[in-house]
Amino acid sequence: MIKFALEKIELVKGKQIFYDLIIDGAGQFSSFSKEVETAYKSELLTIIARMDLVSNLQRLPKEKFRNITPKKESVKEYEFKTKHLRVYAIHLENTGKVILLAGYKNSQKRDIPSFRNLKSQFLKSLEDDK
Amino acid sequence: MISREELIKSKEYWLEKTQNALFVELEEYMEKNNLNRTKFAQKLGVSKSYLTQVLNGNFDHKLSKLIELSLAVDKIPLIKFEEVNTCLLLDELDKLPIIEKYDIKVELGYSLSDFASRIEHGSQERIFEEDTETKYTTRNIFVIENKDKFFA
Repeated sequence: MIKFALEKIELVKGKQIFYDLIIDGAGQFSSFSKEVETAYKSELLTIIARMDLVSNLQRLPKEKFRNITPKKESVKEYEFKTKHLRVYAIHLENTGKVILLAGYKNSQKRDIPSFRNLKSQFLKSLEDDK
Repeated sequence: MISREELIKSKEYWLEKTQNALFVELEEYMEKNNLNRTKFAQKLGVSKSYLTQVLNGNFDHKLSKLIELSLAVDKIPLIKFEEVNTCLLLDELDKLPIIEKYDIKVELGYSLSDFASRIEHGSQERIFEEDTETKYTTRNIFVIENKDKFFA
C-alpha cells in the first residue's frame, strides 16, 4: 500500500498553504522541480509565481490557473499551466492546496488520469486514517 | 531546488505579479461597468484580440501601453523601486505586497499648497505607516481630494 504524507511547500508564501504530496518519502512537486529540464526552469519559476498569487487569494486568468474539477466531484481539482509545464492540485478544506502531480504538456493526456487516480487513493487514505 | 530568494530575485516572479496586477484591474473595471470584451476593447481603442491577449495575462509590451491601459480604467500604475535586500527582508516578515494598494485612512491636515510644495521639493518624508493584515506599505506620495480635506 502506498504511504502518503504532506509537506508544506515553503517556496510558496501566502494566506493559503500549499503542500507537496509525499509518496513513499518522495515529494511529487519537489522531485519534479529537481528533475525539470534546464530549458524549462524559467517556466517553473513562473508556475511558482502563479502558485504564490493563488496562495495570496489573487484571481488569475484561466489560461494560467483553472478549475478542472469534473461534474459531481466534491474535492476541487486545479491545473497550473505554462507553455510546456502542468501542475495538478486539489483543494482540501481546512488544509489548503495539495500538489499531487507535475509534468509536461506533452504528457498531459496520461498525467490527468494519473492525477485523478492519485487523488482517489490519497483521499481514501485520509478516510482510512479517520 | 529553487530557493525563495532565487524566486524573489527572478524576472519571472515580478513579470507575473505585474501582468496579474494589470489583469485584475482590467477585469474589475469590466465587471464594475458591465462591459463585455467587445465593448471594452472599443473603449480602450484596441482590437478585441489584443485585449484578449492582455486578459489572458500575456501583457509584455510597451511601457506606454501599460500606462495607457491603466489610465483608461481610471487607474495610475504607481511604480516603486525597492532594494532587493529590502524585498527579501519584507518577504521574511511576510510583508512583501502582492499588489500594492493605497488605502485611504489618515487625515493629513495639510493644505493642498503645503502638500504640493512637499512633493514638488522632492520630500520623501513619511506621512504615515500602517501595518495591518492587508496594508503593508509606507505610503508617501499618494493623495486624493475629499471635499476640502486631503487624505493619504
